[in-house]
Amino acid sequence: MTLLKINNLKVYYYTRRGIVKAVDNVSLAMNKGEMVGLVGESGSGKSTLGLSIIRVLPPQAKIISGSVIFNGTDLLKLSEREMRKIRGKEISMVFQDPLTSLDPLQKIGDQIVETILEHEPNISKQEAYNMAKKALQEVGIPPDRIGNYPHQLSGGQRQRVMIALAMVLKPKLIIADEPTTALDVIVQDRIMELLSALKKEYGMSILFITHDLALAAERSDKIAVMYAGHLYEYGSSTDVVNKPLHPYTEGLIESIPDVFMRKEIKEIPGQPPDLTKPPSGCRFHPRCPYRMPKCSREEPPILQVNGRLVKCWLYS
Amino acid sequence: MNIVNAILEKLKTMGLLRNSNALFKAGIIIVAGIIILSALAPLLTPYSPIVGTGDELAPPSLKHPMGTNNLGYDMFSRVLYGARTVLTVVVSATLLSMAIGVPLGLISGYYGGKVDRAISIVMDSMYAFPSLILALAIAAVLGASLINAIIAIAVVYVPTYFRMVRGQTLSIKSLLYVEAARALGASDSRIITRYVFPNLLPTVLVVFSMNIADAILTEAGLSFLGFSVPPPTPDWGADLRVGHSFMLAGYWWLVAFPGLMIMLLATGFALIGEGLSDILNPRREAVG
Amino acid sequence: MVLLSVSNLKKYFPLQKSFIERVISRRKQYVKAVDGISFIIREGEVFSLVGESGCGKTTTGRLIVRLETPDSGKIVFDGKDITFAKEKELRPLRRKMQIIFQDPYASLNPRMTIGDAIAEPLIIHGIADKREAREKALEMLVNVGLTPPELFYKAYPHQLSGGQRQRVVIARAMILKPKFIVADEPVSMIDVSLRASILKLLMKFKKDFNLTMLFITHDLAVARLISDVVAVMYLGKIVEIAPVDELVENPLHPYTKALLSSVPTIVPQMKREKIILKGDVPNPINPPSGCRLHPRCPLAIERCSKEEPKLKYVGNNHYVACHLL
Repeated sequence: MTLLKINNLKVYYYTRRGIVKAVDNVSLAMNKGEMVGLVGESGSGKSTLGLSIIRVLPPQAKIISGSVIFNGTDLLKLSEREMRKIRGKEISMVFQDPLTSLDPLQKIGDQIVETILEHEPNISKQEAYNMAKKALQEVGIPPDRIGNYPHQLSGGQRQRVMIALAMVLKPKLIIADEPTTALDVIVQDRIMELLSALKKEYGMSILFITHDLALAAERSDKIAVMYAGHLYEYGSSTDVVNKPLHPYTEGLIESIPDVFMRKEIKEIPGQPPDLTKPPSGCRFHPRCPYRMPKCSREEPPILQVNGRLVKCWLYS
Repeated sequence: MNIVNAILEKLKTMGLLRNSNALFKAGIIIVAGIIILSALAPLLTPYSPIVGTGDELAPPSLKHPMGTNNLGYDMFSRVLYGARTVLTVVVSATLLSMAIGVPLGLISGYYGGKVDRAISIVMDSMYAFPSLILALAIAAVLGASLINAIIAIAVVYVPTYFRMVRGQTLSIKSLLYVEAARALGASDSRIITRYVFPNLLPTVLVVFSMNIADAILTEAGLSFLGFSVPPPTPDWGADLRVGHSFMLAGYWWLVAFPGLMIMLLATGFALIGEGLSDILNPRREAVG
Repeated sequence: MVLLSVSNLKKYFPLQKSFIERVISRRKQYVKAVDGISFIIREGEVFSLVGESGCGKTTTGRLIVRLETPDSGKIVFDGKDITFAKEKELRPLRRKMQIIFQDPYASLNPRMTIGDAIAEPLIIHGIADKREAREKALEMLVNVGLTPPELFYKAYPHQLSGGQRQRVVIARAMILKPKFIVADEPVSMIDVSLRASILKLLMKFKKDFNLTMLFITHDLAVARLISDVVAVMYLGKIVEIAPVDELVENPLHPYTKALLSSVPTIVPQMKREKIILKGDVPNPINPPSGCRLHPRCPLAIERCSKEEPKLKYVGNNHYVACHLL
């Protein structure tokens, strides 16, 4: 069952250097209870895509066109007031740096209680407090920590608090934007474990935004690969990793070393493009080893190949 | 200085000087204008600034655009030639204090320790004096002359450079590229001249033009009190002193024109400083 | 032949305390960043120090190139004891050892052109005059793949991308043809698709110059790719040293096992038993007694909390500090 359907979304940034086409005509569908790994490098538009769903973009960004259908309603058509009801209750977000997203002057338990009361005015304070306690317990924070301030916790624990905050109202979708990038590998593993557990336990969908293809592949059901504002490949994690269709995905897999495999790495030549002047046609064509004359002239369509979506002329 | 800043603020809030480039340009136009006028003084006015025209206390007219003073000197000539005096004193003084304050700040900030503490104490105690009073004291001791005015003003502004340069040096010193230079085997003097100094140069330039603005007022104060160039050398501050005793009698032009010039030139340099500081430290625009 | 030997190296950083704290307690507190580590690096070898943030790996690198002075221990580089050498004595040695930092932007002087930055070491060490240095810098720019070199020579750091800047930093470190280089997380701030090219560049120089390298990283995958030998650090101590394949295929220390079972991989079927450590890394100010891992280790026995395990040889050039072996 489809929970989220993004159609032809365009999000541009209006900067002094010009218009940055951060997300350009991206469509993506997500099912209920699914974890989708949205993979891309910095500047690929993956975070912008995530922020557009709950409409918390920076002021210089503008949603140009497209729709974001969540549970049957187009979020882009909602008023700011209606949107506020959805944020935190239906869709919540976990960011990379929990320290900047948590209020440093408020006890962690109180922050969770506040979020609950904001969305559920009928719940009593005591009930909310119990819910907060339970949520913290579920994410692995000992109950005696409920009166702690954020600075009394370690980085991993703060991220757990962020996750408790995000899941306490049992939203249908959690958007996790590089939730583990600032953390060490052992802590990262446990945070990912926690997100997977939430998905299983409550059937939440998780959009997991990351630059780490291996991490995404390990934990997500599906992987979406973005490059320079376009979505180039979308399919099941195992398929994408074992038999990448798009040359960029292939290049990415070949360029990353793996601890359990002695292998040669191959670099992707060139640099990611400047999105104020993106390359014509397929935006990957200047770096693509398989490029054809057509690639620089025409933007490839999104094709369905073996149950996967791929945006590449090689498959037409 | 406060007046100048207040005017700048006012102009900014009025939206007349929206961006830094406009500030900078306005400053350059004012300063360049005054420099050109004073350089062309002999072509612009037939009168010498230190020879009486025989026409005393004449109001502004076509013949004497700014009138004449009690000794019959043409005020327009005095204002134009006076700019030369003011600029010479102020620019040399500021350059001199920069030449002393910058190296001291570099040494103090880079090496730290006892040297730093000793220099800092001296500089801080100098900084504690109001600038005009310190300049007056020095000028009074040295006597009134062009050179002494330069020295008096220079001493006053050394601590400004010192404090700014020392602070910047401390922060630049801890940056990774300085450490990288050390790892390459660079000597202290090379690190100071090639890595630290070029990176604080923009701030020095800003402080330089701001200081000139301030020094113009200090110089005016000095000569108003008779501690700068001796008469009859044309000088705005000195003319103010002469003029103020005639002001109540209605001879407003003796005070108005030199006073206006002091304001204008100080504002010009302050504008350049403000503009430079915005141009050299642009707030980077984040692109997501 | 051994190029670098480090024995019982220690570095404690005094803790900054507020005025009131100083009044209340006289006792000085220290962060035990590096607490008695020993290892050797052979000529032509890539030796990786792997560990989580705060384990002391970066401090170790900085101690070795003597940007920091050790509290005690011994560093012998190329037959010379440099443990407490003065800055003046170090300067000529710096020709032979270089360091590449994690953040390429911060390690370049923003007001120096790329070309001047690369030529700088030649001039500092009086190896070449201005014209020769320029020629060599241009050559080096080509070598690190920044072409056309004339164009890059005149550019400033802010005009380059992160990957290009790291190439500049590498070029600057390599222009003296050093024997030894410390690379401190050289790719962790670089975009994923450009990391491979930087790693390959380092490997190319390693081969061309028979370079010896201390590679500091938190990323075991990168360590697997680039190193010959890996040492795993935890809270200021080395817990395991082994040739890289041996370490990955036969990890013996519980901490190494925990690390390896947490690393993301695209071949998950290769993952071994999962070792779950309890809690978080403790504070390095008062590290646990005995084996520093014992409060978190699922296999800890009584002895672990009392006695500090020493690095033991277990065959195959493999050393482990654990009482269970």
